[in-house]
Formats: sequence, structure tokens, C-alpha cells
Amino acid sequence: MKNIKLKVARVAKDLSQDDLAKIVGVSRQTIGLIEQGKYNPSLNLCVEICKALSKTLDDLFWEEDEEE
Amino acid sequence: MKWLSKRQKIADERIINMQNKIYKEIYMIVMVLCLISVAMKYYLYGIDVKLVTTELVILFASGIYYTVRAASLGIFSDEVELHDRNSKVPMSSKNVYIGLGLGVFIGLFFGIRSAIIYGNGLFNSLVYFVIVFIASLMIYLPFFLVLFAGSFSVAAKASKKASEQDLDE
Repeated sequence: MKNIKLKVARVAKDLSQDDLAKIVGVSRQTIGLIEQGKYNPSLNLCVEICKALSKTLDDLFWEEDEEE
Repeated sequence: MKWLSKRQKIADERIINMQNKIYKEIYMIVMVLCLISVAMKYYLYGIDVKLVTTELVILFASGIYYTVRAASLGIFSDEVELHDRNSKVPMSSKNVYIGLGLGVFIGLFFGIRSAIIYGNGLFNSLVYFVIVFIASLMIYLPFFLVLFAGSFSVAAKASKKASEQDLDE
């Protein structure tokens, strides 16, 4: 499932995938695959992404709809 | 997202990570054992490639397998991207330098070896050195350049293509 929240948060910060990848210290493809839901990041990587985008884990990685 | 919100059947990541760590160590042990075996055989029985064919096949096949798999999965270009981001010298340039360096080293080795074995007097030794050095350079320089820079370029292109395809799907 695509991670739209991550993409929206990244764009809102005016960052490209490459910019975010550089901040977090991973490759651009890794960010791209996370956004597409094709790669499950570790908790550490999730936290780094959240810090880079000034968001919480809930903001980016919690799918409300599936819980309800 | 799925991996955090949905209770799905998951494998124990800690065990899998530890197992992968052990596999990595096993790989290193096999490589070291192969190198020790090559050194021991050369020391005991003299330099003969036939004696160490199995070891060389293990050493080269594993290296080639890694490169091919990394390129087909698209992580080879990612590794290059991460390397180039942190290093002043791009990996592509490093491969060219390694190819050139090895070519010159082999040329010097054969040149000096010929000068010592076949040279008779200073001038004659120098002539032998220059001729063999240049001939070796002509043979080995392109060979190592193709081997290192060429294979790197092919693997990086294939990996980039695989990676882009992965993102496009």
C-alpha cells in the first residue's frame, strides 16, 4: 500500500526524494520504495524520516482506516 | 501502514537479522580459508594455477554472483550513490584508477622480472625492462580497465535500469 502521507509530508517540506534521502542517509530509491509501500523500513529509519520531516510516527506510518 | 497497523503474520526480525549476520561471517570465513589454502598450496607445491582452481572458482564466482545479483536487484547503483555522496572520489573514477594501477603494477613486475632474469649488463637490462614493460602495458592495461571500469559501468547501468523499473511499477 502506498504511503501517501509520507509523500505529502515530504512535498510540504519542499523536499525531493533525493533531498530527503540525503538528510536521512539512504539512497533515493529507498525513499521511493517506502513511498510506494514496496519496502518496509526499520523503526530506526522510520524515526529518522519523521525527524527529517518534523512529524511523528503516527503522522506518517499509522493507517487510521485499517484500525477502524 | 500495513507493517505497523495491521496484525499480520510476521517473522521474527531479530532472529532473521542474526542469521544473516552469521551467514555473512560464514562467507568471510570461506573467503579467508580459500586465501589461506591458495597461499599454503603455493608455498608447499609451488606456483601452479591448476592446484588452486577450486579456490579461485569459489573466490571469483561469489564476487561475480554478488555483482550480478546486486545489479539485477537495483542496489548496486544505490551503493554507488551512497558512496559518491560521502566520498570525494566517485566510485567510477576509483575503478579506473584501480584498473590503471594494476596494469602499471603488472607491467612493472614483468619488466623488472625480465630485466633481472634475461638482462646482461645495465643497458641490456634497461632495454629488456622497457620492451617488456611497454608490451605488458599494452596487454594488461586495457584488460584491467575493461575488467574494472567496464564491468562497473555495465553493472551500474543495469542496476540503475532495474532500480528505475522498480520505482515505475
